[in-house]
Amino acid sequence: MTDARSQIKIRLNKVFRDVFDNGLIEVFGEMTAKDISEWDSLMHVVLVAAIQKEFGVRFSAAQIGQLKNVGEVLDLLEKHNSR
Amino acid sequence: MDFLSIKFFIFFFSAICIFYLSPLRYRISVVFPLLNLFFILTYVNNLSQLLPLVVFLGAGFIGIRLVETFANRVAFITSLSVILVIFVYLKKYAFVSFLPFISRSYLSVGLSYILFRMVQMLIDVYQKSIQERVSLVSFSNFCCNFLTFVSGPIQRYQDYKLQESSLGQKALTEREVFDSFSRMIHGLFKVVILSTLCMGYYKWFFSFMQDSTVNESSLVLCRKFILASFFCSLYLYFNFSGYMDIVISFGKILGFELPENFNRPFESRSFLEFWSRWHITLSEWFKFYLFNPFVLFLTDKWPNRKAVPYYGVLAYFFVFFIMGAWHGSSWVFLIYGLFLGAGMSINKLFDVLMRKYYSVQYKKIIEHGLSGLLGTALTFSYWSMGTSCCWLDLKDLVKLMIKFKIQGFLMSFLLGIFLWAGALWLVRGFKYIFGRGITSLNGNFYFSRTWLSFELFIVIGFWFYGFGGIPDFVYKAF
Repeated sequence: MTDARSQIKIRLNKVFRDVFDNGLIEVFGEMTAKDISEWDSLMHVVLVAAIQKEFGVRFSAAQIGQLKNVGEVLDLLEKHNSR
Repeated sequence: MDFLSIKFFIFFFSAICIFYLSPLRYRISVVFPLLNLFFILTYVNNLSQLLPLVVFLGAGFIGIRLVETFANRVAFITSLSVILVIFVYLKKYAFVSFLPFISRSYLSVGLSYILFRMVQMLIDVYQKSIQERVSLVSFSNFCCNFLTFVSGPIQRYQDYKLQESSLGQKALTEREVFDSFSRMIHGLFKVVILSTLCMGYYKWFFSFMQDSTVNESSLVLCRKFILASFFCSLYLYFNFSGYMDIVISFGKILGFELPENFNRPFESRSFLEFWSRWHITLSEWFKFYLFNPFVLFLTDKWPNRKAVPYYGVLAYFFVFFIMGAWHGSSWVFLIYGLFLGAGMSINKLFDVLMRKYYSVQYKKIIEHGLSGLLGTALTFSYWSMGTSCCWLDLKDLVKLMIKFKIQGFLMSFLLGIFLWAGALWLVRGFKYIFGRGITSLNGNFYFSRTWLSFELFIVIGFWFYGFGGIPDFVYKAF
């Protein structure tokens, strides 16, 4: 994992802990909604809103709807950072 | 073209032959548009009936071009508004009945599904999720794809494009061809036999209900109402999912992978779950382009952590009200929208309260055993009562409301839960006793072929002798 990706992951982990109000969460690439019981359709959007705010990005409707796991979020954020 | 006509099956076999005999480079650019055009032409008596559809498609394509060229909010909002206005006008929605509508008959089949495709493209082009320029051929192939023209499934443009570019690169295996034809026969069995039987029963109970005398006990009336609703739901399911089986397998034979629209919806243990299993591509579309943006808007505007769960309650109501209202142009569908919206928001509120006062793990506890069974029965009973908006017009529905009052609907609902839970319990008991035997029979080569032949034999027999009674594809009306 590159340095930039690790930095993004650390910040993303903080967002997850904050949104789900759970200090024990440790995100990993394959992590999906099934791994966090509070992660439903509604919390997915709340999570996206928090990520957008933290990283200063704006995801499209298609990107929000198609995000399947944490790895895909990391890919998107990494792509955005490299611009 | 009626999907249950000889004409359709001639078209089906001809399409496969023409498609595979034509050179690969012409399949998408020439053959597919011609097949689409031929398919659409079978719905009209003269070319002028196509004009409104051409205008609608033209507005969509010009809108997409404008958004591609100017890439700004004004172009996007103008294009979206024009498409929506034309759609509402052509569908003759009751709330714009004061407008002078076109008096001559024209093709309105497929308009709703074309709208979903065009709006999806417009939003994705605007938000740069579609980056390559949309060509006229790709646009028309995607919007008028004869496989999905009548009523979906609602494929995404990006997914369609992927298939378009990889078409013909992978040959179908013998197994895939066999499975596709098997699925088509299962689909025909659902539409021709099961949906016809369920339609017969629902009309039977419905006529009993209409003949009910004033003195009849309310329990009898409730029983008739809930049974008519149950059979109407089953009729809708077999008709729509059978049609999907036909269309998806047809697509597969031509090399297109269409998305699934059903995943055992009547096993859902809550109304929230039901909508992730019934008409999946429609639910996904509304989730992507209405639910998510609406919740984002609320959380951006009023970022109050404690209010977030209630934003969900509100968003579900709003989205499902719109979805319900979309199902038809008459006023009765506004009631259907309210019914769906209420069901979803009450279910979400229950979810919020359970998480707050009990445990976030509550689902794991209540979704099993008796509570799970009751949840499934409650979901089916509620959904079935809602479908009465599809078979009653506003006048009849109001009459029923006056006759039933709140108590009547509540009694029907409870009776429905009781009846469906009983039926489920029997089915599960049967599965428990004979499940292993059925599974091994299903996997048996000779049994599965015999069953398939039996289905085909019954379908052909029913087709020839009961043709007049087979219902048309119900979602064509939307």
